[in-house]
Amino acid sequence: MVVNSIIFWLFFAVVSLPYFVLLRKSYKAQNLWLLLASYFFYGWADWKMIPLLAIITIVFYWLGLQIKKNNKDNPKRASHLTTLGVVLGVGVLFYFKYLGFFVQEFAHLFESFGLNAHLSTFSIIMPIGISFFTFKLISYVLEIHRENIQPTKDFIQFATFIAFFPTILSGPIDRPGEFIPQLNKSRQFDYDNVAEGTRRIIWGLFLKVCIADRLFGYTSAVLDNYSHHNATSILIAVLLYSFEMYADFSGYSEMAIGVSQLLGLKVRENFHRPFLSQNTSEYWRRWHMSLTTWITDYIYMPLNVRFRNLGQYGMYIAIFINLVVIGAWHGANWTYVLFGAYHGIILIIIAATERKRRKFEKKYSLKKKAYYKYPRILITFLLVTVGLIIFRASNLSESFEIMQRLTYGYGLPFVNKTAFVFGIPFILLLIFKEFKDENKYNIHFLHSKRLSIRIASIIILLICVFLCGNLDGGQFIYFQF
Amino acid sequence: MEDSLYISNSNMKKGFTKILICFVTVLLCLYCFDCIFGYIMRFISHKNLEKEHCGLNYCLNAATADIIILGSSSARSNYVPQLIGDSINTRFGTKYSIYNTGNTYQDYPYFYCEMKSLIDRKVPKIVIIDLQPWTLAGSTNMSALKYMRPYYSVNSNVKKVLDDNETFLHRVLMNFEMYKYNEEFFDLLTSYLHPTTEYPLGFWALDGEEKEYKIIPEKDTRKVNPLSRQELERTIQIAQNKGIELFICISPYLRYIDRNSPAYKEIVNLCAQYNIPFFDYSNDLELVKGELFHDTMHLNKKGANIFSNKLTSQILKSLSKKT
Repeated sequence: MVVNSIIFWLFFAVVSLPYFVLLRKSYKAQNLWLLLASYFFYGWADWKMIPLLAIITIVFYWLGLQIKKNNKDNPKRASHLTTLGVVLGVGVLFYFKYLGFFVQEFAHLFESFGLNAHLSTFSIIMPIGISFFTFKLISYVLEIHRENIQPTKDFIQFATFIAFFPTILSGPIDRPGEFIPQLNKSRQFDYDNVAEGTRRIIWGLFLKVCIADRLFGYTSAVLDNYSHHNATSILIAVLLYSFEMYADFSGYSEMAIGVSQLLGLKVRENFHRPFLSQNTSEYWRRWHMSLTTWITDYIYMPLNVRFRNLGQYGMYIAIFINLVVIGAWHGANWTYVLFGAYHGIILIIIAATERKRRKFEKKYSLKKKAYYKYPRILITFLLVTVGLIIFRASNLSESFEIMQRLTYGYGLPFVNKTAFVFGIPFILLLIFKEFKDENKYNIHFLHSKRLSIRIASIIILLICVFLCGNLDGGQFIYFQF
Repeated sequence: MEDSLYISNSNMKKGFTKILICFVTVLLCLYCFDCIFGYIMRFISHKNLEKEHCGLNYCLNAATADIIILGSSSARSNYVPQLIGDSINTRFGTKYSIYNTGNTYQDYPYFYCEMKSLIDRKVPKIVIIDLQPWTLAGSTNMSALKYMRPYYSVNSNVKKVLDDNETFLHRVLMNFEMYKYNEEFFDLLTSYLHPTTEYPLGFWALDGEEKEYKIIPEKDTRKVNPLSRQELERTIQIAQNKGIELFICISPYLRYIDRNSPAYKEIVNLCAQYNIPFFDYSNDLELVKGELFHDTMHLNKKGANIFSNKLTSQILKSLSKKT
């Protein structure tokens, strides 16, 4: 049941009607209803994993209360309990997501030494959304230990935060300090929330079906059979893949945020025009923000403090580890590790040259100059695109082969009618909108001051979805993570 | 407290009313657009005998030819109808007309649908079906059903095929014109506004040569899909019941074709069972050359001419034996 399916909207109608009509006077009843709906939603995707979600929620709820209890009286015990929470969260993630991969890699390693490891390959079914809800759980215990938040005594409230259906499958990864307080008051039907939520859902739907799913036809045809295509086709495919990835994931995030807003709940933003970044450091502050801020807060900052006696080198190590973790978070494959390492190295170079660069920019007042800004945006985009070649490949050798194929054999490209006719013009529309938004020209048609223009924009977007969108499209890319 | 609750309630009612008005406005506008758009597209699509839709549209709306070629994009660019038709007419002194209805992805559900629609209009004398050797191993190509959607409400054969293959949700969406013409409207519109004569009798000549190709022997162990088999058998039965001379052919490919695959064997068996002439050029050494191909799946113009000549002589031999 994905947010761009009709079945989801039937489910949403069933959830929201009692939520706003019958239960609107009691926030507790609304929370319980949301929790039941969230478990139903999760069960629809993977009912066998409901016990895991329920048990892990109970354990972390208990841990939260215990950490709070011991924070002042017995800080050591509180620290131990927090460590236990982190180990448990990471352990669950490791078991379901990485164990099979490591067992396989060890078996290969032994075999390369001529030893038979006798490790039969086993596959563990990964619960859908595990990377997202374990991060929520870990942040909960860490925030309580840091005394940034109070643990909630209301179990329903906590379980609703963890299992909240618009975000459980693919984020955004919410923080307890921002989300749980919203569950303390009843949510009323609010015109502004509903209007804004609807606009975001329609925009997200447009990004998904008109851009991401249209480009998928081209990128998959070329990159899955790259040995049969010339360099021009591969170059077009890798450039389009960056947009496909962005439209797919930001489309999902827009819809998830929009659905939450319809329910009167605000969740974290996930994207802030990442392709208009002027360097990759800025890119990571604008791309999948809920994950990058999570990793910055809970991994980069503590590491930076730990390595501070190493001076600048300590910061470089922290940056590198931070990016490798972001890469590895996506899955058990060396390509993700290399993807993280690649970005880590670029970020270290940026950090190492930052002072000189700023001095240079100041000396010649370059910061706002178009001839300085736009080439930087383009270079950043190309660097990100190279990273995504590694990210998309099924193994390391494939990613190197694709890059190698880009160096020779240019000719007439492979043409996919729908990607070129629909996907590319919509990409141009997206770029135009993002540039305008970035430069605060504020001509955003969906947010016009005139209601008639807002309605007309919605109608035009819906017509585009129905006429030009791929209505038989597949899952969201980030569901696999 | 009561006052604030009253204000909140009245705000909620106002908000709800405003949202409802906006929602109804959007729906009404979409409905009007859908009706007008559907009307225009119906007019355009039924007059369209160009590009992607020409084959299907021809079968459904305009078929009068005596010799029909059915198949996918390989059929469209490999079979030169003029050449085949002229050879048959010269040999037998007939005045048969011919049309190549080949279209992208067209496979077994289309053959059945096209064959039924052809017969409803006029029974052809000869039908040549171009099959891909692996066609019986696959499941229904759902993405290719989109070509049929514009004809859903006007052709009962199309309706039946789509109803049999599409999900309930798609059948509901089929009530909306925008859904029926999703993506296809562009082709229909451009070919209506800029009609070309580049595709004589449905034939698409391709140019270029395939220089980089490798033929790697690969075993195809995929099982036969019973539904595909049944659909092909139904098509054969319809043709035989109406006394149509049916030929089943496999075009040349610049790739290895496993003649021991279950799907291939099933085609051979079906042809033998119904006594249908079967011509396989998939591994014909005279044809399997890069200079004759546009890509690994489609012949170029030169290749299509050579192939059509070879095929026609086989068809003529087969027809001569019968007469």
